[in-house]
Amino acid sequence: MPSKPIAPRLAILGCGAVTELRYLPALATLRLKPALLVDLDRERAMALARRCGATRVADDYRPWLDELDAVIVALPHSLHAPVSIDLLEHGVHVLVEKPLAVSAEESKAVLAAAERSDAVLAVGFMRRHSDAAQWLQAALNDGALGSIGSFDFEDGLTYAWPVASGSLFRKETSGGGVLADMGAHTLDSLLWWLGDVAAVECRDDAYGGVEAEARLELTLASGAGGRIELSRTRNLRNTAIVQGERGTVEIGTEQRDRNQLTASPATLLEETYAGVRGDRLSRLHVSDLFVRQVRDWLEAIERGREPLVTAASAARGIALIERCYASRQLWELPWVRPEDLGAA
Amino acid sequence: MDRRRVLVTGATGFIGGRLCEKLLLSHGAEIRALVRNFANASRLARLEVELLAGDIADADVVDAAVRGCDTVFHCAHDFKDAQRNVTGIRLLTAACRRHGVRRLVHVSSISVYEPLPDGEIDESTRAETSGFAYADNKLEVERTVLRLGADGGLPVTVVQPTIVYGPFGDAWTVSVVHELRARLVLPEEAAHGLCNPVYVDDVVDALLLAAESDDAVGERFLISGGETVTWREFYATYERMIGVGPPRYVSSAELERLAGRTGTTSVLGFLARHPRRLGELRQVQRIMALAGPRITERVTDALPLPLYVPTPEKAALLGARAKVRIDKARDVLGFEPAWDFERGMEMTARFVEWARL
Repeated sequence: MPSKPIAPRLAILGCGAVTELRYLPALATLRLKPALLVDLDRERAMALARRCGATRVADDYRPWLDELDAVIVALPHSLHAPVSIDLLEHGVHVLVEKPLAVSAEESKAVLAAAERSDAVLAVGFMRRHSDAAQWLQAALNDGALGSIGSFDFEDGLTYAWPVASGSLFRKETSGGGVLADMGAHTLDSLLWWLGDVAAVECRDDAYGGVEAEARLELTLASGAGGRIELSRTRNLRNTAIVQGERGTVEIGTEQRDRNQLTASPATLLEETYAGVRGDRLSRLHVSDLFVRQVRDWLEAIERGREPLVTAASAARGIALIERCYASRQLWELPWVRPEDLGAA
Repeated sequence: MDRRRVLVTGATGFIGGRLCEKLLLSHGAEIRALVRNFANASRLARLEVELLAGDIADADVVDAAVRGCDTVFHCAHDFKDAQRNVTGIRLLTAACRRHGVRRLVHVSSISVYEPLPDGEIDESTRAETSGFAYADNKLEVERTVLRLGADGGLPVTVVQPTIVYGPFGDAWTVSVVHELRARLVLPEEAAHGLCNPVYVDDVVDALLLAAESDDAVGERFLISGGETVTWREFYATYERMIGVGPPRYVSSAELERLAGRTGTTSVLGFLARHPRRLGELRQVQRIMALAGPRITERVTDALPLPLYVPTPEKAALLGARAKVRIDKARDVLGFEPAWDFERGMEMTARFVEWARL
């Protein structure tokens, strides 16, 4: 099916926190108005529509398919894949929030739908849009650190995201806990910067629900080893450290340290990669990253090029998350005694 | 409690969260949790628990939450809205009666006896209105649940924990660490004032016993760890744990002066408490935008850390010399604290290190 013409008639599916706090402000910055907001909770959709000037709200996108060019999918995780497939099959361009799907099998189905369609499918990994992340990717690609010996990534914040529904915390709609949610960003960056993972060991703290804590020990295809720690209840370091034979680079991943690089030796940052010097990066707010993400998607549609984050690269992350869950062992927290874990 | 169908309110909180862990892991209970704010649900959602979204002040929600449960633990408390707590307990007792719940266990507090008298206290100590907002609200809710239970033939048991500390504890663990790492003043009376600490697992054990004992219906039980330490020692334990010096112990006149300075709702009062949050003021943000982020950060880092001054309620608690007796819980519930202060704090230290507080 041919793709639709540009000057897109935009819709956003799902009116949760990410739509309210990230996508609507990003569209406003780009002077774009969504034509349609969709949510099962029509009141919520209407409240957001009033604020952003969207002309219509609905509780189902399907009747409007023929009138839409491009859609941002910010639904509960379990709907990302089926809805994206439906949209692609109707020739509608899609920017789907991460995760692309909740299983590797599902992500294959989305990839197949994307291949059959001329529409652009981009995945929402906004971290990739920071200058620091792009500098590091280009630097590693260029061998600036020499061969990589080890890495240490930590992402953890006391959870304070103003979730509008409980879908993130229900196994059936979330696809997992901190690993599938925040960890999707961490693993996406890891794969993008350092390449494939050969072996993984995963520990998490879930007892039949979705984990709040996860700890991964990984070995890369290159032979380098490292760890990732993730948390929804603790403020961790929130940086990624990559150590190579020529030096070490640390990149901030959250809040005020976003888009910040430090290095040892510091001279590593004097190099220019991806168009910027590593020691001359400007401050970026998370909202800037969402603006860049939407702009990249729209440019990809307009110019018929690939978006920065393709479905194929997102699918690698999902396959890795699935491997982690398959290998998971219980992470017994330090204050829990074995006798506390009796009858269950 | 094995295999019971249980509703827990306040399950995203400190005591309710640990209760759910024990109910599930040690008793295989089928748990439903009423959740108002999912932003707090990370720890709870790890468990195989039915998460029901809704508000304790909504009659339909409460009815749906109670339906099908045989035991209800009411751990929820809204610190900002006293009326919600009263409405909540009314709706909850009504729903429990309608659905034939076999026991409602209500989590109250030692605060109902505030201001605490010196010497030994137990459940026969007079509980009356104190003028302290939290204590009065807890007292009203406790009286309401006991009265409605007795009137309607609903088996109700009230548990009154003392100073509850342990992993994920807010007031007496996480906040203490944050305050000690910043700037904290305490009344000099706290050097000799008595703290009645209880490790969270002991409170949870008491709740489980309270849900099963036939003799506990219509009764209130004080629950403490069974030993007292001075407040100075309580704080000193955390000081050693995180490697910081003691807070400043000051006279009541000095405390009043500082409280007057920081207690106002004005901009200056706010800045006196939180100098580093200067940047949240709109006028300052304009200047910061001109100065640039790096200079702003340097200026902010040079400002003093937040200053914590106890409220009059807290100052009174820290100066009191009450020793809690738990004979009634021992005799009627068969409760025996499993955690002395030293071991409870050992576990707490593991949490504090793990949580990187």
